[in-house]
Amino acid sequence: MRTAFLLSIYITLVAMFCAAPAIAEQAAREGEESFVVIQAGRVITLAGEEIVDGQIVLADGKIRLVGKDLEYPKSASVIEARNEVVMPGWIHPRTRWQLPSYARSGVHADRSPAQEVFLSEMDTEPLLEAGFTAACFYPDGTGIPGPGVVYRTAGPKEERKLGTAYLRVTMSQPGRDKNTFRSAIELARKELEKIEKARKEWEEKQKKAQEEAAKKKETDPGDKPGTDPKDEKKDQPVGGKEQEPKKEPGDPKDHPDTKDDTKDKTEEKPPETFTPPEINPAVKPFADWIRDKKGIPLLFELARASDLHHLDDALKTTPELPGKLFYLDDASSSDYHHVVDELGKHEAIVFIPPSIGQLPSTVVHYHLPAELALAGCTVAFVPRSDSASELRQLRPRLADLVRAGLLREDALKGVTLHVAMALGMEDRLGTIEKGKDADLVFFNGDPLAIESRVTRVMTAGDMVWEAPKQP
Amino acid sequence: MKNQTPTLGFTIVCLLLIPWFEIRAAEEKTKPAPPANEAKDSAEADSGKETPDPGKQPIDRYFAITGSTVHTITGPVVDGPTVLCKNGKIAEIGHDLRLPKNTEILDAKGYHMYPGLVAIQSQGILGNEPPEDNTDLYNLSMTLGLANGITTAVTGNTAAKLTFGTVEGHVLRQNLFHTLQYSTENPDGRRKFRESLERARQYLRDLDDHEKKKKHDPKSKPPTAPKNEDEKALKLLKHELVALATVNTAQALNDLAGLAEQYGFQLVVQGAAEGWIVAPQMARAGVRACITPRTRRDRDERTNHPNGSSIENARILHEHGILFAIIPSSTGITTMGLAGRDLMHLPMEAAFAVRGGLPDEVAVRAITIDAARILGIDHHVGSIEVGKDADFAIVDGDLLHYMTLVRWAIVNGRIAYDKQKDSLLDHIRPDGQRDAPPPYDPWPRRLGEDW
Repeated sequence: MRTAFLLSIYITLVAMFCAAPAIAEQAAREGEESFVVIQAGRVITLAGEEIVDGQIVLADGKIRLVGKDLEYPKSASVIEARNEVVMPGWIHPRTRWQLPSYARSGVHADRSPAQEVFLSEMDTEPLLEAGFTAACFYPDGTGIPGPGVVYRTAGPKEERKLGTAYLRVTMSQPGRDKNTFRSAIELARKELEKIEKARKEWEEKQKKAQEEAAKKKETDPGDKPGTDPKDEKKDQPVGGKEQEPKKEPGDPKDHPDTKDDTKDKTEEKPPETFTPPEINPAVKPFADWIRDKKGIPLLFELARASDLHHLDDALKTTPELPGKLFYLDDASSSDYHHVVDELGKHEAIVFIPPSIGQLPSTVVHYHLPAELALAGCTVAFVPRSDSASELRQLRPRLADLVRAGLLREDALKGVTLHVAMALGMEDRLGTIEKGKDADLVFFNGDPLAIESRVTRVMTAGDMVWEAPKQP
Repeated sequence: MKNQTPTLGFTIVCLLLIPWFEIRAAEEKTKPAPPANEAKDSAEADSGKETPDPGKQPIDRYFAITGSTVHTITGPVVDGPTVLCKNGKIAEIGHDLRLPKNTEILDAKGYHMYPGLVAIQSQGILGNEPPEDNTDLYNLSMTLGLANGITTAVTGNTAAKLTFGTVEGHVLRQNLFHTLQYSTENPDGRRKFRESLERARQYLRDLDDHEKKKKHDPKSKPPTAPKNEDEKALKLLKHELVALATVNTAQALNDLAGLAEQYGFQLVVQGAAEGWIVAPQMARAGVRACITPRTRRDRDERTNHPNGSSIENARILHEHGILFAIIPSSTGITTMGLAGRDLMHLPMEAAFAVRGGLPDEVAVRAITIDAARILGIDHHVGSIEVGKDADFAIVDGDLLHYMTLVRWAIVNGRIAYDKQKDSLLDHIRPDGQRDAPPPYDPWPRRLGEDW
């Protein structure tokens, strides 16, 4: 007895001695857990006040702390950026950077551009130079060509794909696109009907199985071999393509008493859980929206104000679908000013090129971004084209918009937070806040000043680009 | 006792009735307020108290135009009544109307109100068919059309309204006409059309025979239904379709009118430049026309019978009782269009018919109710009557006067065009006064004098 007691103490002690170095090691690792501190001249967090002479503490590719005069471990490596302005990495909401164009029409909600984006072959230098840390690539074509996919513009390969963002729905030629849209909805409804039918069949099968089981129980309580298994196979529901063999009774109400006729059940193999037939992936997002009232957002691409009314007309039959995300093509020469209030009523997130429209031959101007922001829309900016010069022009254009009345905050959020919101990634990107990804861009002055340049770009805590030193 | 019995009975009845009255009173107290749609009158009487639940039913949209001189077209010209519209339809016309509380009121004192004009053909105003999917609802051409009082136009084979900024109530009627390719230069086509009509008529006769035979012989077979062109011809004979043909010469008009009379189908002729020559034949066949008073067709001196166009065409057709619509020679619409001979000047085209002797009011009818009647949409548009669509052109003078401009265009009870809010014509006589000086209009517009 006593020896046993001593033994146990001994074992405990040994165990403690063995564990001690491991614990110490862990503590040491924690101490030097690769903390990185950015000493920034100014931090534009876009989640509150701008911080002058602030620090951003990063760990594990994420932002750990943001503030002024922060305490951090001495072992942390410091990035000296006291002459620089740091803001969240810019996000391109809609691009086909260096991707070839092609014609596609019809309903293809499953055709993601992931198959055509080869990151290793892509030269993202101009994107980085313009301050973009991420970009959403869209599939080309009209109708419903597919979803957009978001990638980081640089960094290790496994960290570059950020996710799927939205499904493109063009409405730029309503005569053509309304029909495509309606056919997509119709197909989705048919798919749902198919599932409903399969479910009913399955329920009937269940009922029948119950009744038969009950009958059998009454007629011959003894164990008897079941009917020919071949016949049972025919009885299996049509819809249950990938029906599983019985595992657990899911809902006790649906199943017959288990105890007595377990044997019968194993012989008959009625599907215990309903497995719906697969939805046609080309229309799955629509089916999701109609059934669950949630799903991947739809990006409606308009070419003129009238298209919004045609879209509303097409949506009338399917109010479940979201009319929230819009891309206004060719905003400088079009007539979107007619529908600013309607877009405001939609509480829309609007992708728009940074330009001020003009009534031809007059001094009448339409500052669409500012009007939309006033009307209650969330405005995100898309460079006018996928050329390097246009990317460089984006900041001066934003500065022009601010000069003409857009709030500076809206201009800066329009390339960061608002885009992240539109892409459904606002919990990862868009601002400098605790817990978000360390995707940052460094400027040597104010981001909207004409003379400032991007000096450095960081994605997921790694410095991935630095401006070439000027002679 | 004899006297007492009725008194007693009366008392008993009274006593019995008291609880019933009480119940009635209690019921009335507990009765909920009548819903807005059920009691339109009560809503109009004291609409301040009731606010209809927007979740349950749409709120009625009221719009009233007061003070204008109303040209009803199918009735008298009324001075200064109020026209009350409800949900895009004319609800009431009269003086001293009691207006519901949330009525949008347009004071049009001093202006003339006409029904919205009907352009029996148009290009560029509406989108291609189907217009409800294709029309650009903020198109400049649409604004131009409204600025000239046009509220209904035709694209392809569909009549639709110029609903600026909404697709609601856009399309009026589809499949307006069956277009005939009928020309004196194409004898084969004429023969084929004639044969189709003949076969269709034969089919109808066979069908009739079959119906009779069936009574005696239940095994009798029905005749085979006609196909393709014959089917169309059959629809013409059954008045399910209206034929439309573009013909100008007296001979072709005479031919077609003869066919229409012989087979009894409805015919609209487009052009009809020499209609004045064969007006009696056209009238007899009930042919309707779509004419251009300013059309030019030179007289051929080699023939010894009357030919060529005439400014009196409209008057002569009218005098023969032929229903016609008026359309300019070009059916497009632009600010520089064809020196005033496109839809920018639809009333001017009608005014030219007046120059040829047509009465004023018939000229106005030719671009409103008569055009609507030819299109088969006169139950909706073309005149100002209770129950019809609230489509108006409110102008600052006589519609056919060359200086008259449209001040407001109303479509489905909504202001679709307001001259002073649109940059097209707002600088011309802004307050509607005819004797106002011509505007200073530097070019490019609005860049100011010092530009």
